[in-house]
Amino acid sequence: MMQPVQRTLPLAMAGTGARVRLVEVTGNQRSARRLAELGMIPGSHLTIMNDHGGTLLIAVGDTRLALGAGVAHSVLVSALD
Amino acid sequence: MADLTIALAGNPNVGKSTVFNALTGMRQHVGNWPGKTVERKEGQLTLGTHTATIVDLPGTYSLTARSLEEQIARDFIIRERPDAVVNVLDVANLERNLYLTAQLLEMEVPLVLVLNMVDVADARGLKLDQPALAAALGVPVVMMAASRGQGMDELKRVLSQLIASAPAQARGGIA
Repeated sequence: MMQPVQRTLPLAMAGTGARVRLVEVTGNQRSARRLAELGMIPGSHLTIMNDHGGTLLIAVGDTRLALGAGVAHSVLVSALD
Repeated sequence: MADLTIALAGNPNVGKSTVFNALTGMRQHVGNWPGKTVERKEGQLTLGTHTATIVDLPGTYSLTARSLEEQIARDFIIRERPDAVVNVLDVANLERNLYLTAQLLEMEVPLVLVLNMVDVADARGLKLDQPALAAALGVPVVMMAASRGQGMDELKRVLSQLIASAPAQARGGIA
């Protein structure tokens, strides 16, 4: 299925305060599954609360999650605003 | 009468312990899971002629057993086969919460859903179609605002019904 081209970037690079939509989790599908359990599924909206050089504090709904830089790089997102 | 076991399961921070406290009151016992530094809370609840032991399972996002908490929750449900599992959900984050629910449904344990924090959802203008959810999942659904005590009587009523309709099923589970 063809999808309209959308510009994606790694979540780790979106920057503090960014509101983004999760597009895809690349790489290890084990971690993709884990992220899905935590509510991070394609299409879900995320807000980056804090960025410590790639290590992120993000908000998914009411839940705050801390992501390591490695995982944050494997999550592809598109900007919402 | 025969002792029953009812487990409380759900994501972290959905109000499981509030529900637990409301159900058991002062009749609680706190210890650790054998060999684990994870708290195990049990309490007693009288349901008609039955006395039920309520077990407050650790908060978990799934039953895949990646963390100690998840392992404990899964092992308890699989090995000790509780007579009922009460799955507490935060309605304000329903989508994520239903992930665990789907896994519990697959395990075919007698399940009751508690949609907690309906007051929060109301305040946000979220509308819930409770009959539709109950029909789609095929399990009883109770609306609750545990912090205000709303829905507790309904939960007890549903639990009594569930236990009455499925008496003395193969208990003991997998040795």
